[in-house]
Amino acid sequence: MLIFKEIQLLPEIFLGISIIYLIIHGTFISVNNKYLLIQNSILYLSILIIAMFCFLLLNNSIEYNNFQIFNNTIILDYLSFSSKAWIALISIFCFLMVQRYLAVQKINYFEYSVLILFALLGIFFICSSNDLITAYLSIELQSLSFYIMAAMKKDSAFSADAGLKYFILGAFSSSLFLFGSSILYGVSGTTNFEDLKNLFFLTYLEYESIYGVDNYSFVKHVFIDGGLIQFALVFIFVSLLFKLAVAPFHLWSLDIYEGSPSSSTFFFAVVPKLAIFILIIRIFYSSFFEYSIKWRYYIVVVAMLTVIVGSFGGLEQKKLKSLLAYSSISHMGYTLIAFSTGTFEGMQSMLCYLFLYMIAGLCIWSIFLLLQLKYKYSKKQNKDLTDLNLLSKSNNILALFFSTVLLSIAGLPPMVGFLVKIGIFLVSIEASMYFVAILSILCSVISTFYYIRIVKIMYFENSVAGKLYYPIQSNISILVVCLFYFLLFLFVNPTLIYLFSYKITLLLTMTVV
Amino acid sequence: MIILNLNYILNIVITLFLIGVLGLVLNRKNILITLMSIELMLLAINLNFVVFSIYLDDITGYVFVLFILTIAAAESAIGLAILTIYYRLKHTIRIDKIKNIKS
Repeated sequence: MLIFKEIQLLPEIFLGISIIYLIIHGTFISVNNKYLLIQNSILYLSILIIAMFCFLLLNNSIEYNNFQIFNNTIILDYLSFSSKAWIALISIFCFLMVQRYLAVQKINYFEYSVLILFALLGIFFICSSNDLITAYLSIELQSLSFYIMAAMKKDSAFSADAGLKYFILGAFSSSLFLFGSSILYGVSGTTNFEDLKNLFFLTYLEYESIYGVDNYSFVKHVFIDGGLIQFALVFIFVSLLFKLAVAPFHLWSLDIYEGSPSSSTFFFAVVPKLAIFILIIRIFYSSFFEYSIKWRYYIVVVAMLTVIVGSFGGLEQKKLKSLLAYSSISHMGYTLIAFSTGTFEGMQSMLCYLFLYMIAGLCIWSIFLLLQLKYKYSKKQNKDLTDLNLLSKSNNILALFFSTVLLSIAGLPPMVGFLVKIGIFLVSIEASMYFVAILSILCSVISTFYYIRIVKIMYFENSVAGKLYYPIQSNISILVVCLFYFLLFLFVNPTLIYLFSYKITLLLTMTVV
Repeated sequence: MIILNLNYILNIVITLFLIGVLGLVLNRKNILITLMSIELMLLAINLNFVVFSIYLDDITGYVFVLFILTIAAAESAIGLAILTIYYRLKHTIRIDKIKNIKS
């Protein structure tokens, strides 16, 4: 073993240093009088950097250990390791898909890919944060880059609008997080998750048996103020739900997904959700598990509201992007249902669902980005659903892929989406939340309607006139086929994803107890 | 040794924070006021951290305050930059021109 434990953070250190190098490099070249366009080369460099990051991460051999470094502010366990590897792999695909869109939309700033790298650095730090300070700083690093990415298309009023809205609501939600964490600090005197866990883990379980019921209230009164802690936790939870765009706080996401350039929306929708969920797991499942009796009910209410809003709101959408936004809202609802059970199987099916959500989102958004409308004059990209009606005639294979992925995330039986979704329903039945299970199954049936409507528009419309699309480059189409086959492979062999999430949950709960 | 009466200061902090929240929610005129209320919220939280830090005789709160100040500066810089782009396109920064900003 190395002497410096901090060297385990080498992948992030490498990523940070190479981002700084990219900024200096890009600035020196782009102030040149010849106005060199270095967007593409910087994008390929970023892909290389993320690939190197993956390489360093996978060679890091920390899988089973549980390191806490930098004064216990950063934790390196199997949960953070696997989620970082997964996010890095997904983001390589994101970079490759985004490239052509950026060229067509003439977003010729090299800063764009640097910003994506900054956001990824923030996301990686969220995955491994073990302290409220690190959590706040990494959330800010991620969301400050996202504000700029939303406003990156400088000549479009929609994009600037979306950036402004995202900025205001994001700043509001992170100030809620700070308010909650300040009260938590005032009550407990620490900001570290590990210390909080040690402080609160035994409160309900042990003291009652050691000191008896009479002294228990005395001990509880001396050590903690339960009401204030719950007050603080509600603030933190609301701010994290804002970041996830969950039902009472989802209104921003529609405008922002619609307004910002599609490449940015791709990143907002696919990449950061897993990291925010990992932060929720670390705070609410590891540190404040004792309060789970209290917060379970709030989460169940929020999750049900989210599922209902996500499935009913998508019914009347005409734009593909806002439909996908609603579909991501309802998926977050299902994930929260699995989380609210608070059991081992709940965590496992939640992680399964999130991993599969990321792959399916990657497939859908990459197909969405690849469909370049044949407009003569404008570069308008905001696709209506009816634009797809000639897709099955002009590009049959792509239409087949698109409909398969849609049916998979709708949860039709012979797909992997069905397996993870039924996992969530079974888990909620096992935790005897029958009403929740029934209601979410019904909502899932309703939300199937708007996925199937896209399939119907693609295949069963008898219209002759419609929009045509540019053909797809062959090297990109290989990637789409790879993603599609991976989805099919997961149906044939779902044990892969189940075992993966089982291992993560097992190692997580081993560290909890 | 100063004996703090924590309740007074916490009342001040929560009042400041609520002023910030209300300024964000009720404001229908100008985006600059929104930026100011976000700053006010962050500064109220800073005051909260400092008070708790003195009360607990612990240094973590001061460290947190320094980080929050840095982030708040970066955040308002980014907000003003986006506001400049917005003004260049729309020639106004009135908030009621943006639909649906409230949630």
